[in-house]
Amino acid sequence: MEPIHARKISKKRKIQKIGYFMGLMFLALMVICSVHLLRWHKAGSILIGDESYLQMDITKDIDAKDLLVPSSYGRWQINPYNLLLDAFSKVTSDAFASRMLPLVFGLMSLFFAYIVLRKCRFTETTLFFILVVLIISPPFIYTFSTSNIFSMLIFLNILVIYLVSKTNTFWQYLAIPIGILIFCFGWLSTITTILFLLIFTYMKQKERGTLFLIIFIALLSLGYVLSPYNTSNQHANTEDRDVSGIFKNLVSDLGSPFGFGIFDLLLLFVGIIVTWKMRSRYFPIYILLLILFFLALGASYEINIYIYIISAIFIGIGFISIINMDWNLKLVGELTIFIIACGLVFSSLAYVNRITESDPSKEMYEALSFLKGQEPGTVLSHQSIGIWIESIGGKNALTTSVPSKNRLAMQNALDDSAKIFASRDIEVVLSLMRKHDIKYLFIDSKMKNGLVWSREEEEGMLFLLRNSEIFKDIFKNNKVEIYKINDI
Amino acid sequence: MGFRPRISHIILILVLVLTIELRLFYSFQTPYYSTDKSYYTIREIDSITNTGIPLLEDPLKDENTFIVNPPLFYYFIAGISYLIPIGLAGKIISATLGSSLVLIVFLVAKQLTGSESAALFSSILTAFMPILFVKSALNTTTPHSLALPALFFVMYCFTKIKLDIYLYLYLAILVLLPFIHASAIILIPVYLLYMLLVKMEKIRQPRAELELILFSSLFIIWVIILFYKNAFFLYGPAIIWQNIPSFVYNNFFADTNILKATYNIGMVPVIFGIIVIYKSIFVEKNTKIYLFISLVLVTSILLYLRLIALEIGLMYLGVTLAILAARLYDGIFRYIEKTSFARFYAIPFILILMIIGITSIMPSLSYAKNTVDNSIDHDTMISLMWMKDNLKNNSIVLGLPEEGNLITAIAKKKILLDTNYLLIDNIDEIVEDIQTIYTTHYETEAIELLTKYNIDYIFFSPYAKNILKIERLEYVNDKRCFELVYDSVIQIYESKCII
Repeated sequence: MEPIHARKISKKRKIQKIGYFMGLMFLALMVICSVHLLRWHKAGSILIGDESYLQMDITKDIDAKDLLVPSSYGRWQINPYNLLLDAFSKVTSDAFASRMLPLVFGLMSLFFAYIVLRKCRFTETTLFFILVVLIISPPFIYTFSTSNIFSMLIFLNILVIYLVSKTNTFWQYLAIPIGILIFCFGWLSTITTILFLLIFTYMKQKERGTLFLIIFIALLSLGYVLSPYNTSNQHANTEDRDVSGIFKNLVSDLGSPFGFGIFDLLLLFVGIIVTWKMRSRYFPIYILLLILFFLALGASYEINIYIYIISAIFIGIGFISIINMDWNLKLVGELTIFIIACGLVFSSLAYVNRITESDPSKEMYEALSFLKGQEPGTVLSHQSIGIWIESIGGKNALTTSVPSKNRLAMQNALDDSAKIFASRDIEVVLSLMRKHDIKYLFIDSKMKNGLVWSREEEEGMLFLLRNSEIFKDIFKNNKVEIYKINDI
Repeated sequence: MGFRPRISHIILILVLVLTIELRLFYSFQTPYYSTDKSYYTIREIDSITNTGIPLLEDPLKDENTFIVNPPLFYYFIAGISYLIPIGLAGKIISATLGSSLVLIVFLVAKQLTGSESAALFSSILTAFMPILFVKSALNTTTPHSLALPALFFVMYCFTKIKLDIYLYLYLAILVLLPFIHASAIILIPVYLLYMLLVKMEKIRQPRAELELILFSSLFIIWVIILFYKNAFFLYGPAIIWQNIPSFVYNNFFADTNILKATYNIGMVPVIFGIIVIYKSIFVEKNTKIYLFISLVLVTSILLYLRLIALEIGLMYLGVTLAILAARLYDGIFRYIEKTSFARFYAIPFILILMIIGITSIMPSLSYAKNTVDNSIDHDTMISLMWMKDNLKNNSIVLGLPEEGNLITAIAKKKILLDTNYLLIDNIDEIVEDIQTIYTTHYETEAIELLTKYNIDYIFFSPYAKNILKIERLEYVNDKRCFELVYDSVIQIYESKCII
């Protein structure tokens, strides 16, 4: 029988663990809800980003047509997230489902991540810091506050690892159907899941064969990413593949939609140095991180969330090491910890502010809603607006940011739209517009401020808009102008 | 028992007072400032005194031009300007702050050598360093006059962190430093190189230093990111080049070479400093001065890579070399004392003083006179005042970027571009177009560009003539399109046609 004081201590620890866990769940809930609340305050019920509308649109396609019928983007890949979103949307509204589903996945991911990491023998405090760092990170905030497939993918990945870690074979076998679900999301997700599993297996059993398999799959995937057959990132700017472009893609403070903060990188560095002493234990994770960083070269932003989940372990370890350091100058130690905490928090706050101000804005939504009431026709605009034109505006966009299986047609459309935007020759512009049957022109302020044209008033095609016989101004607000192309 | 000041202290005070007085003497030869940047400071101070906050958005430039500048220096001068007029406050405070470097250099050099006479030597070198004498605090009011002394004081406190008072001073000044000027970021590579040098000598670095370096680096990075977030977004890692136009960037260093740099710093600090660096790294392995050697090396690398403005780089380099020079001075005289020439120690002393006089003091005074003679003149001021009173409020004036702050501060008119290049899109194109407008022979080309930027008036100054090597605007004879609305030393043309 345990002595009373030992029982009291273990009860105290249990309460502490529950307290930590509840605190984490509450923090995650607060962070994600704050995004929605702030967005509501700034832009009403408008969802954030284009991915949310893309998923909603695919869901509508599922309702309207057969499952495997190509959608208007030329992309036919339906995945389990769309099906789940469709099911949710039948019970609630599309917009509510688009917000609720990622939130639920976020909380469940956190729950299982907590359990999995506890099995890795981290102390409660270290575990707490790892997960806090993860919760306030831009990738976590983005993934679980916007409607995107990664919210479900991350959850499934963590769930698979959790099930595989169980000793009961029933639960291990249950991981198989879930793995099959992951397969439906595409090759990149499958590869990363296999890598996660292999590394988890290696860390438990330390079989050399597993390690070689990890390296083999990593090299294969790297080869595919760098090969011309990789179509998953057709619109990646080749400048983004150089060193400074990679920095910009990986670091949220340098403009990445969801990347690391500068302090995250510093703490990651510290965490790796601290764990280097136990490198035999962490070696596979170093390999995985390196592989994921290389994959980030070819797969745009998708990989960032995976990189961050792994990095959060080292960031948390780095932070806790700094806190537990035996500081010679106590005041300096306290100030350093304070600055790091401020850096992490401010980075998150800045990111939340940025994401809640992202497009589509109220003005853009108003313009797109107006467009929806117009006759059918193809719309010419910048590719980054394409998804909204199709989803909210209900019109066909000449170019969108969605990679298409018909790479050549997509590239032609992009080239032609660039020619149209740059040209001051009405004949050239009209002939290209006829070629693609363009009926509308959708111009927002960002296009005039560097996205397509520089700030010059009548650069390129803007000069031709004076011709009101051909380009009829049908809508204008602070940020958007819509022109209808008259019968050509 | 009373306080008996040492001779060295008295001389130090005399040098300090002399430096301030000389700077003020030259500054008050003209009621105006010598640099365009000073007028930007005036605008910032105006904004603070009127609204309580510095300029966040520039209403006198293109729409949506946001400003990123650490504001502490401007708040400081704005505070003083409640007691004395802004024009005076800027000159007096900048001269005083810039001259305070003399005291700080004395403290640092004394810390490194233990000799007050050597420290005094460094102080004199610093007081009469040509580039420092003029560019940091003579008839100009820019954050550098505060940033430079603050940085070196921080480094001085770093060398004495064993004492609590210096630790607190270090923390206090460090916290303020990045809010004075972004050049505070130079501390990070300096500290990293310092750690590397110490490690290479296989010397155990005090734990306290490492902790302080960690905190300092994190704090400076955090503040810089806070201020320059938008710029980081726009440029990513390329922010290191500060969006400086290629033309300006290339011309920064076009007519500079080692000899000119030596002239600007002074022959004695350069030669003495280099000898000390060589001896410390390769011969004596003196870790005490590695921190300052790191600053020399970092500044040299930044100058070589053109990542820092020439004048600023030379100022940092010069002050550090002057500090290091104290060691050689001390070494020379300690050696002479041991020899049989000890009784002739006055001869090398006088010789060194003479060399300093010829290579530092005289060039400083000549440089100062030249700067004052070439400062903003009365005629330019009259023309700017005329513009303020006679041009419409929303007129856009074309001038060279180096005149931009002058036009906005005095004439209160919109300009196309000034020397705050950060967050300006297509900067190279704009600079090229400005040059084309001034130098083209073709009226159509000029009007096309003037229409592109909606320019109403062209400000044609002797400065523009000198820089662009032109005597007149070739196309302004067409009176239908260009009316000469002001004609004196400056010509102001109204652009009437559009394409």
